[in-house]
Order: sequence, then structure tokens, then C-alpha cells
Amino acid sequence: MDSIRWAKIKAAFSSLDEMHPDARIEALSQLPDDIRDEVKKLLSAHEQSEDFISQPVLLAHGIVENEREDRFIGKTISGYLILEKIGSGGMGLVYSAERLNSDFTQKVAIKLIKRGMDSDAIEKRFARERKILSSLKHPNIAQLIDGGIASDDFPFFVMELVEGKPLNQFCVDEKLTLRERLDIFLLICSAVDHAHKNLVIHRDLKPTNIFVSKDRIPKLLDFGIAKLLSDDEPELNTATLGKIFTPEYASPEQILGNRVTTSTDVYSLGVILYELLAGHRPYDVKGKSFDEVVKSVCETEPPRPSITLENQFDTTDTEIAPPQIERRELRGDLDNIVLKALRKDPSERYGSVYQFAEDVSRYLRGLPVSARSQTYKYRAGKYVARHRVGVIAAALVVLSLITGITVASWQAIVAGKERAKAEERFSDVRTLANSLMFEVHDSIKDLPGSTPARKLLVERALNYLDKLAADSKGDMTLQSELAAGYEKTGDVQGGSLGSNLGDSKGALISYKKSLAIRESLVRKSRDPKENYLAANVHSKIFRVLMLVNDFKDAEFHCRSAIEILKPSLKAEPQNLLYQVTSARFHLELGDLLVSKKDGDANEALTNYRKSIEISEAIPSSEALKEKMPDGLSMAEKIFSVTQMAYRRIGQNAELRQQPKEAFEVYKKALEASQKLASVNDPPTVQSQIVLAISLGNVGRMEAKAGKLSEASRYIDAMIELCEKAVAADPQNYLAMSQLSLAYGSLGFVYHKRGDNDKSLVELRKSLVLQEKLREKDPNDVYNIGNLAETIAFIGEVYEDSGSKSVGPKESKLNSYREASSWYKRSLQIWVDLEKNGKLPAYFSTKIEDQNVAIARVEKRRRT
Amino acid sequence: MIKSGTMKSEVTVLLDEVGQSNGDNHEALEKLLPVVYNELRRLAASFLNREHQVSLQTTELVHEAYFKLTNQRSVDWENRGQFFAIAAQAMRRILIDAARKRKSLKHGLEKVSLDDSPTISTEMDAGLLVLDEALLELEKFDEQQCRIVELRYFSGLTIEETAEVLKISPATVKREWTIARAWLYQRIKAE
Repeated sequence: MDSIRWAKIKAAFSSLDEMHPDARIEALSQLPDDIRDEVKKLLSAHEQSEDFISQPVLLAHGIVENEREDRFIGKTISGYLILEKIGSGGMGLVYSAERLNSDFTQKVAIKLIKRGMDSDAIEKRFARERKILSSLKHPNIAQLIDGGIASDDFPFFVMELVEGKPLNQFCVDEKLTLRERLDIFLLICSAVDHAHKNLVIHRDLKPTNIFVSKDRIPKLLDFGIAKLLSDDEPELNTATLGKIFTPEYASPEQILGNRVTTSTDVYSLGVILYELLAGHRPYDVKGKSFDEVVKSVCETEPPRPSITLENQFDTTDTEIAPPQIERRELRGDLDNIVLKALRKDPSERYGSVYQFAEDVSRYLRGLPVSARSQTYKYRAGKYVARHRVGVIAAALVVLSLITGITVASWQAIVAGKERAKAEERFSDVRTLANSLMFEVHDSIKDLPGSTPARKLLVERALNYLDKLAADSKGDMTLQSELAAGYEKTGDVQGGSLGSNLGDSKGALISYKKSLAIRESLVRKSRDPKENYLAANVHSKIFRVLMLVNDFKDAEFHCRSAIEILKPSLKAEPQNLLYQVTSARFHLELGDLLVSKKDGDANEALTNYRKSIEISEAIPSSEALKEKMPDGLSMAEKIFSVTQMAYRRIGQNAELRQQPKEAFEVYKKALEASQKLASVNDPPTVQSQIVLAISLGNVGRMEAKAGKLSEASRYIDAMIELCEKAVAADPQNYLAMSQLSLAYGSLGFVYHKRGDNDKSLVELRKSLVLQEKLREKDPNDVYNIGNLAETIAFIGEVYEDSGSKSVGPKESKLNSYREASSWYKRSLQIWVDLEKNGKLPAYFSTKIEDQNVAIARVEKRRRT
Repeated sequence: MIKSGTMKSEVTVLLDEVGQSNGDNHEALEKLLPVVYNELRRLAASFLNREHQVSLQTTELVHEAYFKLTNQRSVDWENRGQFFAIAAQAMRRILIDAARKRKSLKHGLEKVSLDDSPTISTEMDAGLLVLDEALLELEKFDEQQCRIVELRYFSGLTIEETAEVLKISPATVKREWTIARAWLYQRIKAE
């Protein structure tokens, strides 16, 4: 019946039905011929069908008896003996089966369409799944073996039987470690990557579609709603098909019904990884309305996996047991990797599953990953929009893409015909590496929290230069660039100025590589600049050696620096840079002389004064604020040398028990530090730390002079600066070191005020930090000395408490016992230093001091 | 496989999907149908076992299934309409599948289970199967009437509820329902 005729029939029926039977006969005869009979039949049926289906159907036993889905068991389908039901999805049933008529027993899985579900659309989809599976051959995808139409007309297909457990359950049952989880995840990625390369998007990746076998091999199952990129059946129209998903693992574009691409699988893999690591999914969509789901998945930023991991210990509502993973293992790279896969905008995610897997694998191999923290970028970008931070990530990516390929190909074809072209590329790479190492690096140098990023940048760039240099010996400019590269690496590893990673040994190696090149260049060139550059590396080596207390080598490098610079000064006496550098070298020589065991203290003072004399002779001008190629302005260089020279003279006075003189000189140092801090706006982290040191020195002298409230003001200011610097960059060794001293000074002030309890609190804070620093750099003798002093001072405070105690004798004795054990602990550190030949001259009296203190408190205990 | 825990949200989400597309989202419908099918059959069996009832009407069953599957305390009428439309189709399939199965059992030599209620007559099975065939034919030229029959007969909805589900007036439902019954009756009688 066609629908137009049916519409006419219905209209006629309705109007006639309401008529009086007499009128109806008349009206009926008026109807057109083609519908008259139909209407007549309907009218008569209507009269007889009063009760027909007028009451809803009744359900009764029998009708609703559970269909026996196991009716297949024991039967054979196309030569497969059905064994048992192993799964049931929305439309399909899965049975395990065994191949008959085969020499070996092969267990397989057979998928069939559920009865009652065999609509055309479902059959089509079933056929598509089979087609897709047949195009995929991968060890981590359940393999299609066979397929066809069974005798009673339903389609089926045979797959490899995966005996295992769903992913999440497997991880929980087997108590997999972080590494083991990631290893499995990488295999899953390789399967999805394979599908993508065959133009198949899975679209329904979730842990229950991934089975893991006993030998930890995951297999991807259920391509039931997968999409063939090459398929253009009208049914695959994304507007409709795009809306089928499992909400927990669906991407924003799936939920919004937008175009689904391979990036959708990247997202779902991101959710899977999130759950593997954090034990929970990023969003809780269970029981939520569609609007709420849209809001969570499409608008809310997911919490970092490390935070989710931690939070779930507070709740009992976990679907799977929390993994045995420590929060700190996720913080940083893994957090960043997962969040990158979960970006709302597909274009911000990994460009492919391959890239995603590559980052995870880089993490596993301890290599830097490409994923960056969004918040860090955001924060840094806001903090210094003018610092070009935004370009760094892009530059890194470009570098790794272009350079990785270019360097290799350059080496491969250098002998060939394309040499000219290769050289051109070679020079491009070199320019890029240099720009990264200097322009980009320097632009982030003063950003809080940037230390690891700087190391990564410099090491990468250097790595490329190293490769290039191997193929181009004799090129002086390139040699010079290499030397600069090594020098920069040394700075980041453990240079004495600027925030660094506290790796003195690594720094020395890098600096010495640089020096070897620089010295050969001095011999080859007449340019006074080369002398200056070589002198500078000597001085950097000297500084690191000072930090690790190798005075003998340090002295060599320090005096070498002064000697090598002399020709430069002679050639250009008015060169500001050479002047400032010379001032610094004298300061450094002074430092060496006071640290060395048999150093001449007077020669040291002479050098400090010489240094101050040189720098104070330079007239101040706005021009001094201009940035030099190394990122520092002349003004910064001058003030940092000046404040340091004053500080050293102050320390000398302090050692000579001249507190008044020390106080005066320290105030001069503070003045210079304040000038230093005001050169840049906002002030650099480094200048803030210097300021903190100067504040601490003045504060300490005030405290020693008994001016406790003045002292507190200085020390509070110091603590504030240091805490800020440490909060901004918890890796900043210098800031931590100064913070430890600040707490120590505050402890001293409390002690002087007679509040020993509060004093001990601060001293212990100082102690904790100094122990942490010792862990980071066991070669930093200066810090170890501070640690020993802090410990000794805790002893002093206990001794003082004991002597003032008016309580029971027992508590007095307890305090003395405490004091004695702290003194002994301090003594042990000093003795160990001396045994290893690492006890600096200015600490030489310490062993004696401790022995005296121990004897004193032991005597007190006895009387 | 759909887990019971996630099924609730999935059903609600899918229902919203269907609702937003005015029932045109066949993919979502196809995903929902098996869920509802299984739930209704499960519920029916448990109702019958629990109450020692001989028979029951589908209305209660469908409402119960709705609350179970969507986990909603208050009734979202939009959702509920979509759900009843699907439930009606599912009920139809359940009954037809069962009737077919019994028919095939009788053709074969397999033992008829004692659980099979004697109150269900062969006549009724046959009636259901011919009704299903007639409905298939009707659906070809008047899909709406077919839906109305499913909702009224297989889901036990009132005229008003049916109108709500299909977003048409009760008068239209009444008129179309009358015509559909008449057409089906004369179609079956003609066999």
C-alpha cells in the first residue's frame, strides 16, 4: 500500500466513522474508486474488532523464560565444536570452541549475533567488524581466523581465543608495578597504532576490551563499532555513528558528536593510562546526566593523575584497588604525558598513538619527554611574557625533528654528490643549536623552576654540536661554539653562580672539555678576546673546585685565569668587561687564599681590596645596565663582585673577632647587594639570593651585638626571600642552602632571647635542609661545615637549657646528655672531613672547639 | 558487555541521545534495545517467580525497568518517553522470540520443559506470530501506527501516555489506534 493512498483511506475512515450509519452509506458511495473498498473493509473490521488487542498483552510463565543462550553448546558450527559461552555483548554472543578434524587441538572464540538482535543494521555492523578484523594482523590484536554463515542462516566469525583477564583486573590481581603497567600499555599502543596505519579507528577503547594473558601480552578485542577511514557507507555518517561510545572513555569530540579521528583513540588511551596509573578515571560520569557528562568531559580540566592517586586513599569509592604506585613517581613527566593525551582539543594531543607511546617509552628509558605541564607554561608565560618562553617548546620540537634527521643524513651522504646541500643544512642545524643554547636558554635562565628545562635544552643542543664537530675538525668558529656549549652545560650542572643541579663532578668534566678547546684557540689566535674567554673558563673551574674543596687545583686555575687575562687588559685597558673580570679574579684569588690551609690571609685581604678598588673606579651609568651576551649586565657583574669582596672582608673581620668592623663591612656588602637586586625589574632569583645572604650577615652581627629586634628584621627578610626562591624552584641548591642558614640565624636569635625551645625548632629546620643538601651534593664541604656547625649549636642550646634548668636534677642531666651527644656528632663530621683532607682552613679550629665543648659538658654532667 | 554499574548512566545518556535526535538516532537505539530487552526479560522472570503470578501486565514491568535502568528518582518525561518507545519494541521482540522458540520446539522432538506454563496456549503463540507479521506489513506504510500498537499493546500504555511518548495529541492516538486495530484485524482475519 502506498502511503498517499493510505492517508486518503484514513481520512475517509475517520470522517465516515463518526457519521450516522445511514449517512455513512451515502458518503461511502461518494468515495473515489481506488479507496472505497479499503475504507469499507476497515469500517466493517472496526465493528468486529471491539476487543481485539484492546487489552495489553499478558505475560506469563513460559513467555519470559530465559532463552537458553547455551543452546549452541555441544553443537558444531562449520567444523567448530562449541564448548562454552565466554561473553555476551549488546548484540553478539561469544563462545569458546574447538576445531574439529584437525591434527592439533586449536581453541578459538566464535562470535555470533544474538537472537532477536539480527536486524539489518546489526548484521551490517557485524560484517564490518569481520572485514576490519581481517585487515589487521598484529600480535596484540585478537586475530580473525575464519567466518561465514552457519546452517540456520546466521553469520558468525572465528577469532583467536584470548585467555586472560580484562586489563584493569589483571593489573590489580597481579599487583603490577608502575613499570609493568607501562610495558603493557606500550603493547596496547602498538596494536592501536597498527589499526590506525590500516585506516581503522577503534572508537571504543576501554579496559574491558583489552584482555591480558598470563604472559602479560595484551590483546585488543571488539572492533564492533570501529570505523574504517576508507569506508564511505552512508551509515558511517559521523553525525549518527559518532554518537556511540562508552561515556567513561569517550573523547569530547565523541560526546559532542563532532568528527572522530585517530585522535579519539589517543584520548581513550589517555583515559586508560590514567586509570592504570591513578587507579581511577579522570572524570566520574557514572550516574550523571548527559549535560553533566558534557560538562565534565568537555569543559573541566582533569586533575593530575598524581593528585587523583593520592586523593583516593581518602575514599572508599574506588572501582579498582589503588595501584602500588607512589605519588612522586607520577608527578612531572607521567602527569604531563597523560594530560597531554587528554587535552580537549584533539590538535593539542599527541599527533599519533605512536608519538604518545614514544613519550611513555622515553620516560621509561629516563629520557626527557615531549609533554610539558600546561600550568607551568601558563604560569611562566604570564610571569615573563617578554621572555619568549612560548617559543621554547616549539623550538625544541623543531630541533628534535629537523636535527635528528639532518645530522644523520648529513653524515650518511657527506661523501656523496649532495655535499653542498648537506653543508647548507649542516649550517642551519648549527645556527639552530646555537640559538637554542644561548638565546633560548638565556631567556629562561632567570625563570623560577627552569633549572631542569635549561639542562635539557643545553644538553640537547650540545649533543647536536658534538656530532657536528666530529665531522669538522679544524673549523675554529665551530670549535669556539663547542667550547661555549660545554661551558654552558657546566653552568647548568654545577656552576657556582646561578641556580644549578648541584652536580659538581659533571660540571668539572664539561668545563675541562671547554677549556681544552679554548686554550688551543688562544695558541692559534691573536685576538685578546680568546684570552678573556679562556680565563673565564679557568675561573669557572676554580669556582667549582672551591666548592668541592680541591684547593690545590683551584689555586692553579685561579692564578692561570689572572695570567691569561693580563694580555687582554694590556691590549685594551679601558675595556669594561676585562676590568670587571679582573676585579672578579682578584676576589676569587682572595677566596682561595682564605680557604687554603697555608693560605696567606694578608694576601687575601690585599686581593679583596684590589677587587673593590677596580670595581668602584668604574663610573656608574645607565649604559652599565645593558645586557651582555651572557645575559648579565655590566652593572650586575660589578655589584656582585663588590658585595662579595666586602662580604669576604667582613667574614675575615668576624674570624678575627672584630664584630664592629665586620658589621660595618657587611653593611657595605648589603648596600651593593641592594643595588644588584635593583638592576632588574623584577629582580632575578639570583640577585634575591645574594640579597638574602647579605641580609643574613648583617642580621647575624646585630644578633651577636645583642640588638635582637634589629637582627630579627634582617633575618625575617632573608627567610622570606629564600622561601620564595625555594618555592619557585625546589631544585635551586643555592636558595636551599641560604634558607638553611636563615633558619639557623633565627635559631640563634631565639637562643639569644632566651627562648631555647623556639630556637631548637628553627635549628632543626636548618638541620633538615642541610642534610638534604648533603644528599644532593656530598662534595659541598661548605654545606657540610654548616651542618656540623648547626649540630654543634643545637648542642650549645641544650647545654644552655641544662645550665638554666631549675627543675628536677634529672631534666638538667638530660639536657647535658643531649648537648654532649650533639657535640660528638658535630665532632665526628669535622674529623671525617679532616681525614679526607677536606677540612677548609677557616674551619681548622673546629675540631678543637668541639673537643673543648664535649669536655665542658661532660664535666657539668658529673658535678 | 555492559556492566550493571555503568549501564544506568549509559542508558540515561543514550536516551538523551535518542531524545535529542527526535528518535532518529538509530545507532543509539540499537545500543539501547538489547539492554532494555535483557532487563525486561529478567524483570519479567523475577516478577513471575516472586509473586507466583500466573500472568501480569507489562505496564508495571516497563515502569520498573525504566527506574532500574536510568537510576532516576524523579521522572524525566523526555527520557521516559524515549524509554517506553524502546521498551515497547523490546517487549514485542521478547514475546515474539519466545513464541517462535516454542513453535520450533514443538516442531522438533526435544522435550518440552515442565516449566513451560500450560496456560499459554498454542493458539496464543500463533496469534502473536501472525500479529507480528501483520505489524511488519503495517509498519511499511504507517510506522506511527505500528509504534502506537506497540506502546498500547506490548507496553500497556494509556492513550495519554502514548500521546506523550510520540509527541502527538491524544485524539490523534485514539483515532490512529482505532484504524490500526481495524486494519490489523481485517488483515489477520483475511489469512
